[in-house]
Amino acid sequence: MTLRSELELAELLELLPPAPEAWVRSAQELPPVHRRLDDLVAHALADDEYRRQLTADLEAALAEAGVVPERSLVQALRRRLAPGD
Amino acid sequence: MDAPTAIAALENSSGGVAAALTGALAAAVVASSAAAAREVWAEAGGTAAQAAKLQRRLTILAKQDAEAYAAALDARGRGDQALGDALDRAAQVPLEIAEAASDVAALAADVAEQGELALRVDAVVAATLAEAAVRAAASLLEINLGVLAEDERLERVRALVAAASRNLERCR
Amino acid sequence: MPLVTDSDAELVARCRSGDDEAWRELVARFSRYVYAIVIQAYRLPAADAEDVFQEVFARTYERLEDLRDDASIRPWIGQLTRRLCVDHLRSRKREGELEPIEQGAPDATLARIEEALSIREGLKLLSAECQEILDRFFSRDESYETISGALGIPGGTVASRISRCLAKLREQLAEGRTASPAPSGEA
Repeated sequence: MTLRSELELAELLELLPPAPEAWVRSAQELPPVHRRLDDLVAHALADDEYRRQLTADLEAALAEAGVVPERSLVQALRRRLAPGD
Repeated sequence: MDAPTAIAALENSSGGVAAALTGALAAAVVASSAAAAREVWAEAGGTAAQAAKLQRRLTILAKQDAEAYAAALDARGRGDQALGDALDRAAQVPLEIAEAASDVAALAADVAEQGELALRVDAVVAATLAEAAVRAAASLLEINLGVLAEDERLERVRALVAAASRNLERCR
Repeated sequence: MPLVTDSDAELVARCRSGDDEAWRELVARFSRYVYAIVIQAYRLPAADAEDVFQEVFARTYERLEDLRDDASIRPWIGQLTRRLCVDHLRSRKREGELEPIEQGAPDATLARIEEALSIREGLKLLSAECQEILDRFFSRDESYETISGALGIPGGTVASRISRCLAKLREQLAEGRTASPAPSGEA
């Protein structure tokens, strides 16, 4: 193992600050949020009219289901509703 | 940051930029003198690393102060809430400058206590600059929070000024 | 066994079995890595950085079933993050919103981030106080006063303790020691 100086070690430690807490908490909440997506998708698969409404405005549907419509979740829902899903 | 770049950064800048860069300069002096003591002092390497870190931090704070100052100027005329938020941020950065510069003064005092005359001279210079940076940042905070005498940040920054002064005395 | 000492492969297996606590630990473990790639290597502005950060974990959650080698979750997440950063920059560049990134600049920083991860692994060989004090000062930008208050140690001793902990870290890494078990990310 290379013998690094304290200066080098300090610079390397600085490269890994913690991510903002709010970001981490939001990502950690994915499992319960995805279970809500599961419900939306199941409903959409069972009901064509609902599927059309959902696809027309994913953000509104997520908000109505009590999920903050973050971009990553809107895209996740779009992927799950894509043809072949 | 080299001297021409630092001087260029001061053009059209706020006092906070000058305070932060003064603190960064002090940190650079501490880093250099601590590194010179490697042969005789077990904590020299760690002290130099901390000073180098504070130098980087204060350089970043100089940039953040310029941005916060510009944002505060920009917020004038956009309503009380926007201006209040911008002023609050503009007050927070000087507090962070004072904290970092106060830590530089503490490190300078640690270097001075190693005893060698050459180190002590550099340590006094570094602590003097660091203490000035803390005082300058404290003045900015007091001006920015002028109407909020009970803000706890004022008490904190005054404690930082006192600590920096004590550390300067340790160097002498 | 506490999740924090699970290996990466064990943690992925628990996530796959529907363990929400394991997922929270996975996010905690790799969040610094993802954040560093997004902010330090690709220098995305804050709002864009957050989008990419969330997208990385959203896709990781969706694709856990498809992972071929659970122990390789970290390089897998690293590769996904890099790809999403590049995709994001390309799309913003097409919209004329961002300056093109300097060629090769992310590569050098990415290599240093990988080095930094191995240094953080080395922290686990130190006492809890040393780990905490080094993290708080170097990674979290905390002042001596804040660290003193948080750890309940005299303010005048913080700098000296940091120096001693850094020297111990240097010594442990030079001796080539590794922490065991070997989770590869952040705790």
